[in-house]
Amino acid sequence: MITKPTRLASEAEAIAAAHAAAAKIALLARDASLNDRVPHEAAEILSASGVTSIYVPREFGGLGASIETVVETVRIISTADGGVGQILQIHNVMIRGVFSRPDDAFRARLVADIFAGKRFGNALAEGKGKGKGGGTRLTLDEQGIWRLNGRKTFATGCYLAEWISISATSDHGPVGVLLHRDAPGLTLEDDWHAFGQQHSVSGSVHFDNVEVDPRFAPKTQTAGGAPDFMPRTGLTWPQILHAAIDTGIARGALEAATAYIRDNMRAWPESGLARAADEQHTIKRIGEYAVAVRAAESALRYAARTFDRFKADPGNRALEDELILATATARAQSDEASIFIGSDLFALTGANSTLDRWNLQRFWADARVHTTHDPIRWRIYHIGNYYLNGVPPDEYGRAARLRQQEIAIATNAATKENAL
Amino acid sequence: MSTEPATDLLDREPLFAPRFADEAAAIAAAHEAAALIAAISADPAERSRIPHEQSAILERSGVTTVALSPEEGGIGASVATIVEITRIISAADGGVGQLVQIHNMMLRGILRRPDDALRRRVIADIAAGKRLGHAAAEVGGKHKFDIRTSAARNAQGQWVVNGAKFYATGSYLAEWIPSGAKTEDGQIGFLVHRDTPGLILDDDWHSFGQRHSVSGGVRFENLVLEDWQVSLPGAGAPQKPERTGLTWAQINHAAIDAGIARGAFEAAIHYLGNNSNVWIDAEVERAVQEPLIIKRIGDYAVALRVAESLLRDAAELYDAYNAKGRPSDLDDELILAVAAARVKTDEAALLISSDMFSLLGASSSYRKFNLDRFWADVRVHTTHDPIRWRLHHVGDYYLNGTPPHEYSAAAIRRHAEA
Repeated sequence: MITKPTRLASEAEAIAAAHAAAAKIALLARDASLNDRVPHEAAEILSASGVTSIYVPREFGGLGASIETVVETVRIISTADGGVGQILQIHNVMIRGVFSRPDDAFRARLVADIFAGKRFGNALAEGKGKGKGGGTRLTLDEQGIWRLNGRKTFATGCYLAEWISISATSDHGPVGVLLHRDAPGLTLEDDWHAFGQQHSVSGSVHFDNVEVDPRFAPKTQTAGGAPDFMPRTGLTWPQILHAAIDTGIARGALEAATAYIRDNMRAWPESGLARAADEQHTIKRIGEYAVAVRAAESALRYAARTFDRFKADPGNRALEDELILATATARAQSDEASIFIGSDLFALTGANSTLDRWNLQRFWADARVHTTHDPIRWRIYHIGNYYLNGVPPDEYGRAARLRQQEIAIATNAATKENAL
Repeated sequence: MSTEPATDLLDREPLFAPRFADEAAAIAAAHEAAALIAAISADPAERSRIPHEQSAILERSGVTTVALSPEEGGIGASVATIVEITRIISAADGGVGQLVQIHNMMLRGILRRPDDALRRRVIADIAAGKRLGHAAAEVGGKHKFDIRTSAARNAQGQWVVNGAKFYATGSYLAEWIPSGAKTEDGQIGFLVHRDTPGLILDDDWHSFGQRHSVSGGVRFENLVLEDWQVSLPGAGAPQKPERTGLTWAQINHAAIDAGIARGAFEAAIHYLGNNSNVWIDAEVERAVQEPLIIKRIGDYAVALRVAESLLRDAAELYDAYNAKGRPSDLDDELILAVAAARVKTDEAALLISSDMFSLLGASSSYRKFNLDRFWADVRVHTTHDPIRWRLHHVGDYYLNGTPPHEYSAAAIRRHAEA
């Protein structure tokens, strides 16, 4: 049962609520026996705090929090638990579509659910690699009912979500479908067995002849218009929130390392010191961690502010370039900082800190698994190609999406011709 | 008090173990054993289990006998060969590699013993493939060398030991366990058979890596020692530690990390060739054709080759040092060479084992592939003693001309002050 969530009245309240939730979630996250359990309690803390509804725009009765604030809440939650942070990340990404839906009772229900602390998950990727399409398909049955069949993997957040946002193929090109978790034929699997980010519940979702509301039917000539084209910055929102997760994990690792060195560690005999925290080599290394974290946090903040500026000036092409570059920078730096600190900290904290009861490997494990989401080498490639060759930077999969759209347009044109 | 062993332990018949014709045959046997061990250790279900089977493979392979002289059933192997065997086994499983490492570390002490019945008995066991563990470090004290385990003479004049050790690498699967205790007259060292009453081997090594090094606890509950087991009887000052007293342990620690680095490297390449999807933005057919991946694998290969090269150099230098009777004017160079090998093996193994996931992609993080074991093993193993202090000594030598030390320097200093 979800406690009735707090309605946060300002961005400052939202940040304070995130800190309070993070403090509670951190207590659960440090317990090694909870690593492989579904984070029911942490998810409930998250929703009860009110942070899952701050992105609802003012015209829907929400706080309409800035990008900067939403990013900051994801970062704060991720300092406690990167997996729970990703539940918040994917929720914020998936609810974006709600606010551009037609104004009807269905939309009103979705918005009410968000205020009630319900969360959204995603079911986009499939077994054979992102963007390759495959099994999940929307078709019309003999009774004229739209049916969804197939299987998704890496379905972050779904196991604990109220609404599942799904991509599928159809005879009329790609479609997006929203399903309630209780839809008959929809199965949420607890099968996310990676070595990290266990709490992101990124397992699989099955669709067995699930009935789909006609409002999600493919857009054909009868429904009017071409399929939606993803804008150039269509992935910036998930990307910046991904960067917030790794930035949070990096901060969490730094704080865990310094606490362990201060409170639990014996001085190394060669240092001749009484306290481990007085050793100069250790102090200097912690300085390097702090610089890495601060660089990541700074890059994240700059990217978030650039995103807020871009939202106010969406036609500004130069600002669009700058936003993609800034977000890619935040991803690269947060990736580097979280993996560096998450792994290197053991060089300072020593052999005892590797015992399971401290559960300190979770920072590396979470960062390492999370940062495989999409390759950082390609984010850096786009930055390099901009500076070296002046090529406008892209997010991932753009070329493939353009190809897919060409096919969809051609299919639509063919359908129209056949209809005539 | 008897000076000869009074127990039937010493009368047991040794088992059969292979005897190698030469060092090349021993290295070939290590490769064979590593292939068998790798097949087991790749299974994620094996990760938290005691490596009984891997231990038996080691035993049958004979690779732990090579340091013995030909008369004793070994081949009097060079440092280079022993280090190479540790590296090869560690490429399959860093934890099992550490069983070999600690065995060879402790065997040196046995080989330096006078020719008595205990030495003959232990060496017969080792020739049969049995191994040595060790139980030195303790927890709860001010530092790693703060020993609380104590021994006192009973009415019969025997030493009775009480206390607890931790990080007792290899002991859970070892035949003989060297340990130490403080007494009113200073520290004693002793060697105890695994079946001795009062010796408790605990399966409590619950770390996130190097599980197979079985580095948990060893307890002594009124363990009664015969004098033949006690190598440094009570009276008199402890022996002055050698400046290169830990070099043997250190170079084999470097071999473990070099092996893990190689294991991770090969696992990454195998996965990229067989399991990885091509990234959506790469205009190629297969992941292995992507230039950004190819270049990064080049980075890994250079890091690995540097580590292996430094390890080889240090081992050859070590053999030359031993051949010259361990002259003190070579101490500096040997310590620097081994420290450099430790730094670069640490670096290569951590780089490859962690960074590889950025190339392999999200599916490679599934537990069923068990690919995080390389990072977990090397991350835990390299906490043995801080690399920053190896670097400190290298830096202090080049900057201030200070003779480099190992981490026993503090013990040597205390000895000098005493």
